[in-house]
Amino acid sequence: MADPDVVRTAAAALARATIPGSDLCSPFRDTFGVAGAAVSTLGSPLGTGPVCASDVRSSRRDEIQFDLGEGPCWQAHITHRPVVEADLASSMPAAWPAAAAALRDEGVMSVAAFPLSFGRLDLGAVDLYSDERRDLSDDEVDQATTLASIAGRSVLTRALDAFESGDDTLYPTSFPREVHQASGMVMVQLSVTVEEALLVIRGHAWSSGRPLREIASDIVLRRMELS
Amino acid sequence: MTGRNRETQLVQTFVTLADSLVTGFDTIDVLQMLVERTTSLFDAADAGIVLVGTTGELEVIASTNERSKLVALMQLRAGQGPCVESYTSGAVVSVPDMGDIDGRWPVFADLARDSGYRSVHAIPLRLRNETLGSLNLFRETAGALNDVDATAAQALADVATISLLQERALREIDSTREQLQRALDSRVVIEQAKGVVSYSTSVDMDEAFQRIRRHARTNRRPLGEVAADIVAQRLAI
Repeated sequence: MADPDVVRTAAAALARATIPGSDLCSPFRDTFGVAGAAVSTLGSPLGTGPVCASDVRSSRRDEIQFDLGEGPCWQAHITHRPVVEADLASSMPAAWPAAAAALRDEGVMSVAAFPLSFGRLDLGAVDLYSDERRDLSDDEVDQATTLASIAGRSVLTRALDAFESGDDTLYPTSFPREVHQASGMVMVQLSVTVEEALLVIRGHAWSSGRPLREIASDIVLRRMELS
Repeated sequence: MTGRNRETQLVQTFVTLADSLVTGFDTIDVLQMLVERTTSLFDAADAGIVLVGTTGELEVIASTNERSKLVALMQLRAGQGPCVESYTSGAVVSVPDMGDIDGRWPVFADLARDSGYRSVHAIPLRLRNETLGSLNLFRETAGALNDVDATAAQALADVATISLLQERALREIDSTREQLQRALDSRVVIEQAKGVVSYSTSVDMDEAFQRIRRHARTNRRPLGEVAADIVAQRLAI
């Protein structure tokens, strides 16, 4: 069980992190001694995308789940329950087989995801990643769940601030904005609907093994044309 | 702080102390879990939540055991003590040493003398300018609640408060969710429209956005509608 002093300090830090860019991730990483932590918003109403990541690898690990539309963060968000997978090498999570394989390839051994919510507003998830086996005790799961609810409060504060001030840059769309821009371009180029255009782009990302964001960026910068 | 005001913008229109609170089974369950977690988080022996009820009187809604429930009830009966004062003042009330309170709350001091608690800390359950009750920590050791603890405890109290909103409030939350969702959908369409205009007229995204905005302004139409028409190919600019 994480030291209560450490947990309280993390709780206070999370409660104060209401300015965009303030750190919602290190408190989770440091409290539970994991390799990395990432916080994301998922689906409605704040869109799918990163809020923060403690390091580049954690950011990539979350992005894999955004692109695939499945993973521990999605499961935690949808079921409103913590998701704890201590050994990705040997287990096969039924709800996210593709994400499990992709995360394994990225070096993840253990992953835990906690719903990011405030009251009845389900906002996203907090992901804890470990490269070595890391079991979480029931106490730690409780502690992380509590910290995630405090983080949810801060994320909602930021979103409402942005909404109120008309700041569109602050919270993500369902995919990075380049993906939607690229969809608009491909739609015209191939004479298909925008939904079909998005599928073409996603299919291309999936088959080439590259992040969706990169493919979209190439299209927007006219480095790539799809046919 | 403006941050807090904006956060509670979500709930600003709906709580009055005279309205009935949600006290269904799920809510009690959530609060009970919260007091138990609070206990371990703050290394407290016990924790309890008092709330103002339908009659305007404070009631004990959740507590980790009978002893803390009793101490909370003593205060309610006496009409004085940290739990009550936190509610009436809307502020954190910290009692680092229960041996010291005779001057402050004589009746409560008398009742609480044998409780075994050395320190008590009451954190208000607040929504903007209204206080609904208090979250109370009971410790068997003396000591104050420092800044870090107070911040963390207030955040937890807010999490408790949001669980207590009545049906009318929950509809407001749904409405806020819808507003945020509409803003989100509108952004998606605008980005798509930028892509369409950018490709069709061979301009970059910023210029494409300017053209869409100009069209919206000139024709006095909302930006989102113009964007939707562009993506649906009802409009070419």
